[in-house]
Amino acid sequence: MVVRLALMMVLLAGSPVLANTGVAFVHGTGNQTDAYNDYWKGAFIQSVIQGLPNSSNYVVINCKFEEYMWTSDAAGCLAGQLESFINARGITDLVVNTHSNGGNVIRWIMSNPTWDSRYPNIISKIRWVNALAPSSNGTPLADAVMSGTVFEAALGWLLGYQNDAVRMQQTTWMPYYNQNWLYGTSGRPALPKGFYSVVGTDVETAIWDGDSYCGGYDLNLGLEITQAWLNSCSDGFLECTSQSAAGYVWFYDTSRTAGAEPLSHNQSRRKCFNLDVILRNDL
Amino acid sequence: MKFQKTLCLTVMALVASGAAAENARFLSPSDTDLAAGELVAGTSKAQRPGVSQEPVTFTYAIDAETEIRSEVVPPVTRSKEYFVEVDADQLRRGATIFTTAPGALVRINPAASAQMKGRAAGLAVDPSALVLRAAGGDTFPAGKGMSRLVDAEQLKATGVPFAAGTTAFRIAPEVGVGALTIAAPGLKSNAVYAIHVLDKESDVVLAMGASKADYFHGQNLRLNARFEDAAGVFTADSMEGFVTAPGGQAWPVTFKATRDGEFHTTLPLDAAAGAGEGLWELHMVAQGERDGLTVVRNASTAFAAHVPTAAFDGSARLHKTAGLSVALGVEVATAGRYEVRGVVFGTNGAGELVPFAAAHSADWLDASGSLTLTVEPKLIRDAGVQAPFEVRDLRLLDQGRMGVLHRQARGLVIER
Repeated sequence: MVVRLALMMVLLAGSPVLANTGVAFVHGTGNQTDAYNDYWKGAFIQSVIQGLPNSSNYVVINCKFEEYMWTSDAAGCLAGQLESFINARGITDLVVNTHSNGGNVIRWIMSNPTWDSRYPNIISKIRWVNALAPSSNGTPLADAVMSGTVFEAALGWLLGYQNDAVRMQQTTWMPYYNQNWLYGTSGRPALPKGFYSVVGTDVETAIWDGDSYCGGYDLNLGLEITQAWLNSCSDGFLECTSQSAAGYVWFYDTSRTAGAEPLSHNQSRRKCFNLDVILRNDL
Repeated sequence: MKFQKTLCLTVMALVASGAAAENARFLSPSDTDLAAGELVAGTSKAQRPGVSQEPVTFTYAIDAETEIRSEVVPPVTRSKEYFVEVDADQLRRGATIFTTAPGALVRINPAASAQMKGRAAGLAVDPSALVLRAAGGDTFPAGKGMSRLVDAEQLKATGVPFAAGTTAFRIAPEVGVGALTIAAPGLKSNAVYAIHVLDKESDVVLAMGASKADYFHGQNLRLNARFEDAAGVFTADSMEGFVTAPGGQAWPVTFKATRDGEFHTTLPLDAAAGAGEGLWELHMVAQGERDGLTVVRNASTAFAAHVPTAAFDGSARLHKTAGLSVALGVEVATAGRYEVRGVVFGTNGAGELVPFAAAHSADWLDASGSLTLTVEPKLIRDAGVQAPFEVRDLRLLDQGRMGVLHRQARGLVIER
């Protein structure tokens, strides 16, 4: 928090002209064609962008994050949409809000600036990344999900039926990429721009508790059982250790949310417990 | 060691010519560094699509307190989980699973054939209609003996990418442990099902890990595996497994037991095999017995296998600039897009070497050449550092083939 405030002061003091601030919303694993409605929901986006001086300066990314993070369909697509947004709107100060695996894809761009000639300009425009529940060190659930698919693949289904983004988020894969291709984790150089994670610590599914319904009760019900694959601090999909593995922890959910409510993995991309207001005020 | 030989020749040549490069020199790699051996020319390993051919450099400031660790530690997998496939007839009659502690978590999903045909969602098993039979014969019908049942729709709603048609439940403590039977008497399907068992509360794990995180083409994968419980290592009755390349090719491996209860396997790696990106994996299943209970575990781990398409040739040429600009010679056996990156250390006012910049440079190299790391004077001034400098965490990457070709904790010394 202190680092973010200090950085903001430096940015303000050092700006010879008023910055043109924009915000990008970067979804997680999946192939999105209408992430505004399908992944984030309009109520969340519209609430966050109220913090922009020009509320038209936002972009909702739609890419194929079923692929490995470095591919043209993942990081390449993200770079293309960010570059178009930056150029079209004249953005000089970009806040990037990511969710889940979206944090890995933007981290790929920031960790591999020479991969693509578009990357340096994008990095230079980024103020910081707010990584909502990033899967920075993978998840045991990806291990569980992959189990069985590869054995069958060996019997003839060579491609299997799981996508590469899930494969990549296994707990033996992400540490490899963190140590070799990605920055921001322990023992590695810091990323060129701040990467601030919001960590979801629990899932609440009491049927009498209205808070359990934010983001969808059924959705949280399932996450409660998926917690069984995880350690005691998790958002139902990711352990807190993974969410906090890269960059800096901005805050653990209950320290800032309304009513000190935890954010399940699905609630951390929804208009739940003032998360939208926190992100709005961050702009 | 080709690297060291080249290095010696280069330094001798520079000294003899009195070239300006005399103040930048490579250090020898240590045992924990990664350095390619003999290079492979014209590898069949394909480049990923759309590899850039533009030169790109990028350097930025990093904090002097940054701790850099170059050594890559291979992961150790510790599994309490396994799966078994059964056909619909078996599941109707009752399929046996093995647990060693109460409260195991079970997932059931239509297996790969149904997943690949896209019809798995309609074949989900209703968990509330399942019948559990304890090892002692007690029967728990219609979802009794289970807690936290989650049907396929509820699991799908989580967004966790479980296989289509996955249902899950936790076995209630009163069912006990051992060989349990799960039956779906009303199942109307002829599909094959995968039953996954997470023996979460068990102290028995299958621990396995490769000796290294990175291998080069032709090197032997070495991997150890063992059963562990709270008392220590115990011997498995069987271990089987296979290695998969990123493109999907598979090689069976044979495990050999050692006297201390461990098993090990080796496999020469054909890193050039096939297309595909991502890591290699070793998948295994182990079975044994502990205190009269059957133990089954699956596990997998990941590692990288690289084709040594290029290497540092040992030369480092310092350009005369206000900042730092050092060209590192790269011997290229196969054309590709290569990147050199490193963390630049400088000497602070207290005479200590501290990190202050992360430098990167990439370009397409058809043949041997060089890549230049640069640090602008302002970065040096702002950091308050001066010579001597060092480039640590020095790496050479093959961006087109996702190859890590060189990784050196202390790579280069720059004195002037």
